[in-house]
This record gives sequence, C-alpha cells and structure tokens, in this order.
Amino acid sequence: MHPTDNTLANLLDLFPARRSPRLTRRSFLAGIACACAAGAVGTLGACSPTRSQDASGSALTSADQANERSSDAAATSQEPLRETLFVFDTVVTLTAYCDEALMRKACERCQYFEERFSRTREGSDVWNINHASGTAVEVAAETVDVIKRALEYCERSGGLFDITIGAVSQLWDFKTGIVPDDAAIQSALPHVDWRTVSVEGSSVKLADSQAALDLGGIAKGYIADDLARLLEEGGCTSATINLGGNVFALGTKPDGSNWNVGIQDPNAPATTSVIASLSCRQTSVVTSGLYERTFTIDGVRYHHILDPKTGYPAVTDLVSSSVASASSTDGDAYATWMFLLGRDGALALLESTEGMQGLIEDAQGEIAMTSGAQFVLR
Amino acid sequence: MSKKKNKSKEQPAAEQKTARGINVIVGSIIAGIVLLSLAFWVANSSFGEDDVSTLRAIVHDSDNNAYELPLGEDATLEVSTEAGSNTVVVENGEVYVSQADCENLDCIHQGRISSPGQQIICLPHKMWIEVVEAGQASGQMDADATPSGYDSISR
Repeated sequence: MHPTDNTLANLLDLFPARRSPRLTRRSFLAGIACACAAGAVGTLGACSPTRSQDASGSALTSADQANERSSDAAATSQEPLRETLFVFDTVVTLTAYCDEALMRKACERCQYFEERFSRTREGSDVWNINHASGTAVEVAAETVDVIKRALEYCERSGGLFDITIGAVSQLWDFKTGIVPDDAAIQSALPHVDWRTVSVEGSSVKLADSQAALDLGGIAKGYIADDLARLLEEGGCTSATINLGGNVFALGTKPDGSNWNVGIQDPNAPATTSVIASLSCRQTSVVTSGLYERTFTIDGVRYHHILDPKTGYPAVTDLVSSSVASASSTDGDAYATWMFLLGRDGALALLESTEGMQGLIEDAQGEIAMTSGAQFVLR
Repeated sequence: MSKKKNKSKEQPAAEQKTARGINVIVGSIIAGIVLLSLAFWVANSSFGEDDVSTLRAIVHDSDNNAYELPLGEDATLEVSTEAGSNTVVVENGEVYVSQADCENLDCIHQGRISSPGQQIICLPHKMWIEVVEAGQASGQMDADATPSGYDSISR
C-alpha cells in the first residue's frame, strides 16, 4: 500500500463509531484521486462511493479496498455520499450531495454534540451541569442555546415538556426494561422543575442540586438544524439528515424535485412499513412514537415518554405524533409535547401554530392530520 | 345474429377467401403476442428483481469489518467484537439475526429482510446488516435504509 494511503486511512480511523467505513475510505480516496486528476478541489463532489461485489462471507481487508480504488475514481457524479454513525444513543444517517471534506465536518459535528449533550457521558456539558451540586458550570455556546430554546418550551407547555425530567428518567432503564421503585420515583419527582434552571452568559446552573437535565426531547431536533446549517453553509443544496428517525430534508433532490419522507407505521415498528408520506423540501419531519424504547412487564407496557407530573410513562391516547416544520428543534419539542397533550390537545396546539403540519395516530388506529397538512395517507 | 349469418353466406367466394386470409393473419398476430407475453413473463419470473441470486447482505461490525453474504446461498456468520456477538443467518433468500448476547434483542425482533435498502440494526453492538443488489452502490439515495419510493423515514 502506498504510504499516503496509510496516512489517509489512519486519519479516517479517528471516527470509530462510523458504520460505513468501507464506503467512506473508498469514496474519500476516490475523491482525492479525482481531485488529483482534475487538479481542482471543486470536483471532489463529483466522486462518489461505489461498492463492488467480492470476498463473499469474508472480511474485506484494506488490500481489497486498495484494489478497488482505481475503479472508484471513475464513479458517476449523481450519487450522494452516505455516512452512518452510532451517536446520541441511536443511528444517524447522513446522505448528502457534497464533497468528502464537508461530510467529514458533519460527522465531526455529530461527535461534538455527543460530547456535550449526552446525559450519561461523563464530562459532557449536561453531565457536568447535573453533577455540579447546584453551582454554575461553563458550557459550550450550543449547550446554552439548546437549553434556552428548551426553556421556552417548558414555559409555554406549562411544564408538560420539562428538561429537568432527568431526575426521573435516570431511574428508568428502557433498554433492559427496569421499572424503578415507586418510592424512588416519588422522591425524585419534586426535583423535576424547569424553573430550577438558570442560564447566565455561558454558564448554566441548577438551583436544585438534585435536579438533572435530560435534553432527550429536543437535542436531536437542535442537532438536525445545526447539521443542516453546516451542510448549507458548505454549499450543499441536497441532503437528508436522519437522526434516529428525526428527519431533516435539506433543499431538494438534485433534480430539483421534492423529497419524499415516509412516516413509520407505529403498529409495525420492526418493519419499514409507513402509514403516510410527505413530499417536501427544506423541511424537518419529526415523529414521536410509543413503540420506541418500550418494554412489557406483567402485561403492562412501559414506553419512554415520561410525564413530568407523575414520573411514569405518559398516559395518552396517541401512539404516534409527527410534525413537519421549518425548524427541527421546534418539531422535536412539539412531537413530545403533543404526546402529553393527547389527541385533541395535540391537534389544537398545531392548528394554533403557524407553519406546522401534524399527523397523529391514536390508540384506536385512527389517523388524523391538521387542516391543510399535505401528508398523503397510504 | 341470424342476420349476420345470412350476410356472410351471401358473400361472394373471393371475398370469403380474403376474409379467411385476414383471419389467418390476425390469428398469427394474436398467437405471436401471446407467445411473446409468455416469454416475457417467464423471463421476468426467472431474472426479475426478486431473484435472490443478485442480492447480497452486507454485515458491518463495530470493528469496521464488512462481510458479504450472497442471499442465494444459505449461510451462518458469527459476528463477534468487543461489543458483543450476533449470529447472522442467510436462509431461503432472507437474512436475519438468530442469536445475540445483548439485553433487548432488538436485532432478532427486526425479523428477516430480503429487499435492497432494508436494514437490521443492533444498537448495543454497533452492528448492522443491509441488503444490496449486486453491482449497485449501497449508498444510493433511494436506498437510505428505507422502502423504495421514500428518501427517509421519520419514526
């Protein structure tokens, strides 16, 4: 292998969480090859990943990749780059018509947010705030920003949406299916109160030392907006950003036509069946569903959307709520808030908000959408 | 009905001959169309998009390895990394996870997949499986882990 190739491969190894390393390395190297051939960085975007079919059932080695590189350089121009990462406790898929450098920037940005917004990662901004015993903590500008946005929703929703749900949510384990003791929930509940959060300049403080932030209801939306901005500023006009089902359809398809975003069927979560779709451009589509992160014990189903007033999974007549909006931050917060409001309240909320389209499915399997919404039912 | 019959009886012999000739030609054309359709149908059913011989499962593990399994050949692949183990099985043109040592077994519950663009994801082990068509790039826009016709799925 050429020494330069080794260096490039090592550089790319900085991102171990990446799910499509083979595509990445090959497309990146193909990009370099194209750039060399054309003598211009601007042509990087014309190079794209391809995948040849070989080495059945065996691990593909870097030698295999090296052999395939030459054919990559001749790849067609109409294919996007795609990256898949395991971050934010979910799967992130970025598909963009852009150059490799911009895609790398977007991936690094995901890692940046992972290191700041995670409640469970020691040393993250949120972790530091939660473990500061009531003292102020200096945090990144984005952390301040997302908390400020979240607090607006806490206030507007009268505490139905509450980012200090962390005191309770840290007791639940939806992965292994553990219901906390009722006594533990009851003693944590008084510490769920967004008014304990104060932001001053670049520092954040929880006045209640036992309170804890959990940005789960808004962080993905905020990050989707940020990634969309980053790609746009880098000159990308065509991409889909999917943060574990939280979608931002950036710009249009390369031919100028709309993106087609499907809404997951909440009753068939393990499959890829959809109940509706939305033809859209430059739009965020966020869905909250009871089917994600659930478990059943003794016939009782527990889902992950907790009610800040009870500390238990929200009692709601909705099984799925979707919001299409210009801002994914808004869409994410709304989708969670709508759940706590229930069917009628959710529809009324969206009807009263300009620029938002909503689609909900209730426990009876009835699907409804806000007036003027352009979802097409399957 | 009887009128028509009478009319044809009254036709001169030369006209009848011509009519028979046309009948033969029309008949041949219809037979040709039927045969052609049949040929297309046979061709489609053997070489159509559901033909598993063109499909492959690509298994990605957390150590950045990628394994390719043709869906046309039954096989079992043990994927073990520091994150954990999954047993991937190809059977009757479908791929699925039969065993895993994670706690929620989501990967097993995701069932069997066999169409291009479909995926199975094991979050705790950072392992994922995708189905791709031979000779096609897996990173195509319309194969964004979604059923065909959708660019992305909101869930």
